[in-house]
Amino acid sequence: MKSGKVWILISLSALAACRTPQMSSEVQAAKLAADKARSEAIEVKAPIAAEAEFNSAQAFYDKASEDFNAGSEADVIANYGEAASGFLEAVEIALESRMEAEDAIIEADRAIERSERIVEDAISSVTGGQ
Amino acid sequence: MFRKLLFFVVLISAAVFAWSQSLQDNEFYTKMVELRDMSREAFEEGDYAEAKRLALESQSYSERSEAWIEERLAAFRASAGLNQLKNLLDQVASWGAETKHPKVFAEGTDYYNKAYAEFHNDENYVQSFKTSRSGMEVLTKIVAITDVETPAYYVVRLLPGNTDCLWNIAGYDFIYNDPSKWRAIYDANESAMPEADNPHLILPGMILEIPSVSGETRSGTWQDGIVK
Repeated sequence: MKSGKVWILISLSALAACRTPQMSSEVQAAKLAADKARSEAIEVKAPIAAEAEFNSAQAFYDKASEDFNAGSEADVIANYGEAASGFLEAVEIALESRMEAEDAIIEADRAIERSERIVEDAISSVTGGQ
Repeated sequence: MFRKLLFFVVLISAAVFAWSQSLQDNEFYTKMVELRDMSREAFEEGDYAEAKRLALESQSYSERSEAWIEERLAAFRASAGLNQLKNLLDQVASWGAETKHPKVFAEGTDYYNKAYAEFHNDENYVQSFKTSRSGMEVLTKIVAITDVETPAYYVVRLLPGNTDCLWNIAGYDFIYNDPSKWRAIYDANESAMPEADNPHLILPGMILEIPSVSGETRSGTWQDGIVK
């Protein structure tokens, strides 16, 4: 009785394995490109810096994955392609935004330093630099 | 004397320290730093748009911070100027300047009152400082005169290589400390001049009357560096 149950489980697993869709090389390439772009986007913090663009690309990515898992490959490559280009757009926007923020912070630092220098000069002008 | 000087030095040091502290308490500067730090945090989180907004807001306090420092500095200078003028007024008053040099003393007092009002009523620190400086200049004349004896007569010297003339005499610190006032000496001595209508000729040994030009009290005769 016990060994019968084990056999049933083994048979079900084998059936499930047979049902997992096999990826064609074109789908594999599309998914790889989307994954790479997604990693870059996460690297530059695009989920926050370019939230709308990242989420839009993520929606294409999720749809492609769902369709593939459901065995419906019709739009999988196209959706991974949309996802990859969306993620890259998010990367670009995040990098541009990051650069602008960096410049603004550098300017803020300079303004603070200038203010500190003015205070030092003012103090030294009334204490004779002592 | 030493204790008085020490007290003054301590007082000035305390004022400078308090003032330095107040500069560092600059609320605009504090805000700048706070916003810049928040900007950095937003940047680290990847919220670059917010980081940029905060950094720009931090910069916007820069001009106000600098203006605030300038105003504090002007206020400090004006306050120091007022104190200096007050001290000098007290000093010359203790030398009897009110009776010896009533005009100049009154002028110095007027400058002080004006500088005080400009500081406390108008908060025009730059103008208050200028007025205090003018008051100091006026009173310094008394100091120059009071420090030395102010003679009522001057015996003309024979100066080797240099001519004793009314211009030079009026410029001596114990006379008027101002060469342009030579005319007062000439007017007072016109009838005794060797040549009528010639203010350029004076002779060694002549005794010139030195009239009071700003209400100062004069006495004695100056001869070869000594007032007798």
